[in-house]
Amino acid sequence: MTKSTKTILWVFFLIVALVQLFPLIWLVDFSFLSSNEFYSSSVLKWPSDPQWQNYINAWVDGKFLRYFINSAFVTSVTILLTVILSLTLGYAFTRMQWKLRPVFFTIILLGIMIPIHATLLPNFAIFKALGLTNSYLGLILPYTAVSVPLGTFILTGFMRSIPKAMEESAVVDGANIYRIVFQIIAPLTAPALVTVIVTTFLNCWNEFIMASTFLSKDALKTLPFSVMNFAGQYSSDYGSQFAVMVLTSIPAIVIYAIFNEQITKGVTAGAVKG
Amino acid sequence: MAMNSKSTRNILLVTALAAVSVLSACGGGNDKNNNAGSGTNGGTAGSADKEVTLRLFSNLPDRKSGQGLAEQMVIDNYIKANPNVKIDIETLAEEPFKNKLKAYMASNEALDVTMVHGGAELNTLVQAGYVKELNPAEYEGDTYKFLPGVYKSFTFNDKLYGLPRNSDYEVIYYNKKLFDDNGIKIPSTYAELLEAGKQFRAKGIEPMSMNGKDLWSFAAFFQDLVVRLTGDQNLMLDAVAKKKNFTGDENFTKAAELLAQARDTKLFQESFMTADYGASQNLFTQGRAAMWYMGSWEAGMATNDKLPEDFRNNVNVLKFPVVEGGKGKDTDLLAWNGGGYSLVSSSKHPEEAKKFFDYMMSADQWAKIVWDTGAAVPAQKYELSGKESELQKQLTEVLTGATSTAGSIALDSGTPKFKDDAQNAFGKFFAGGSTPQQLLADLQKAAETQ
Repeated sequence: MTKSTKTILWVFFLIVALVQLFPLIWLVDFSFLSSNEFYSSSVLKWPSDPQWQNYINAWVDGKFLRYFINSAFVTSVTILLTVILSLTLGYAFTRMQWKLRPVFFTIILLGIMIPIHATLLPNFAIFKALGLTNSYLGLILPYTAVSVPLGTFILTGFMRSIPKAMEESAVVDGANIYRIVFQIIAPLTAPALVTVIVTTFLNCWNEFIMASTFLSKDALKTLPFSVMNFAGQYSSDYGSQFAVMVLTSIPAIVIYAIFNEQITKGVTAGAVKG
Repeated sequence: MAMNSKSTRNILLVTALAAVSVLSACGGGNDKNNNAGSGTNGGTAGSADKEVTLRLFSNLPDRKSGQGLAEQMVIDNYIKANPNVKIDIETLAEEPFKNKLKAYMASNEALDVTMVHGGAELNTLVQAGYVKELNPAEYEGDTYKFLPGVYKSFTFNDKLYGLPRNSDYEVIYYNKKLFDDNGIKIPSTYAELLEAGKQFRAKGIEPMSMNGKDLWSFAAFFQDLVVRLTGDQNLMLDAVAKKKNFTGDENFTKAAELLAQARDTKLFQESFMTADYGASQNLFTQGRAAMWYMGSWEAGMATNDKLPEDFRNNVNVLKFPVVEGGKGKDTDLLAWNGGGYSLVSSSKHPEEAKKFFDYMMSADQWAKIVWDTGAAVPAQKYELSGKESELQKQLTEVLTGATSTAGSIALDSGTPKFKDDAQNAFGKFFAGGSTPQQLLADLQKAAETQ
């Protein structure tokens, strides 16, 4: 490759990166502005008088810390349940021979097509009867239910690419089924598992409609409520809302940055072999 | 190995069960406590000094400014006067609020007091029996001082189901300095308004800011035009109720044509269809648009020290101009009472809830506080405190000088589906450039299929 083509390529990638990062830069930039500066004609605006107050508002009035802990708890339990269920289901669908396997596999995959919000009101009625509204479980159960189908789909695709010989030798060495699934298969499917973890994380972390319907107690509310705390009937305190959004997106960015490579691997590996 | 796998399975099962029970205990436990607590309270609701927790559901999540702050101040006052009462406030912004209220209604949730939107939404709650009937006789007299006619969108089959909290009416806010500096006459007729629009546009100033993205302002603007043309506040409401037709009526045709003139002479700002409430307000408060078509609840603009001082000193109120040859006067006010509060039938502490409700609605609480803070214009008679801003005085004049009021905004007088369809019709009219006839046909269809 000549030097000039290399330069052009670099410039091109830089532009693409900038376009990708722009919303984030914009978000951070505007989180330092007061609400009145929001609708100026400039796209980015240097905060001559940075509004640190927005972050203080986000932390105090937005009750950031409490909501953050709730979100972190709900999301991590959901991820844990999703991973365990998807992994075991995936194994059952790819390796085990049983009578109704194709039927159940289709039923589980149909779950991908059901949007979580379509289940809102029926779930509310059922959960209320069961006393699950206003509890963490009221969020964890539906979140898990919608995450498992996709997780199973990704994992079955991935598992088909793993040679059976591995398990055969494990069986010869005396490993039981749990050992095979959790100690042999799980590490091998690590890239796909990471994909499942990240997609589940993103889905739960920002979910609001379900949370707003099921939760009334302030002590249980999750992060998206924090943004709500600055919404008036007609206009809102945009500066503080942006500060909340910056704080909310940090964990998502961190997770994506850490697992970036595995995600790409997991998605493509699952897709091609599926 | 068989033993081994069996024990592993047992361990896994036990762990899963334990996890589930721990989690449900987390949330469920609180519920049980609450129920137990309310049970004892319910039995002795009459006697004071018993701890009572009331549940209030409101659409004002921001508790630090505007109406949210006013609501919070009323609640704080009540708790101070009644230390045995705790008020558990749940707030969600407009759309999530409406969704959740429906869910609460469907499951008969034991709220005590809820915010309601008068008209179609309250009607749904009334039909489901979710809100309590009120006795209007109790709210007469000096404690409450409700203005005449404000119960209209809270009354169904001659029974009252809620009390309005604000008087909302549409006006045109204008920036006097922009008019003066450019030598443009402050319009008193619709033709002058369009003419002023052209002049501002020629000078590179946006004439009128509009929150086009929200769509409802167009419907209000249209209703204003209909009233100016006919002097009849009920015509458009009747058309929504299918007692009249939008199509084939010369008044509606004329109003739609006038609306098309506003669109075609570019009265509204550049790309007004993408401007939401905040964007349209900002354009006006930053002095980049000369006028803003909006409701009376923006009285606080004149005292909001976050806005430029130059703007605050120059913001004024204009009545919607008369239409040449129309039968309407500029004192026919497009006023309605949209938001309010209702008592919930399934309340566990009906007596305590009523006490709090009556306290909140008394003239020296909500009404006084929203007026003093400039958060809104109340639906009750209020005393001028002498500290009002010029803007507030002008708004008061508009309201007290009104010779007729609409009582309800046409968009909200039908079903939610009508509102949706009608808004889309206006969206199509302004963004897609359909003809006045098409607009009326779409509105007619919306009214018929609601």
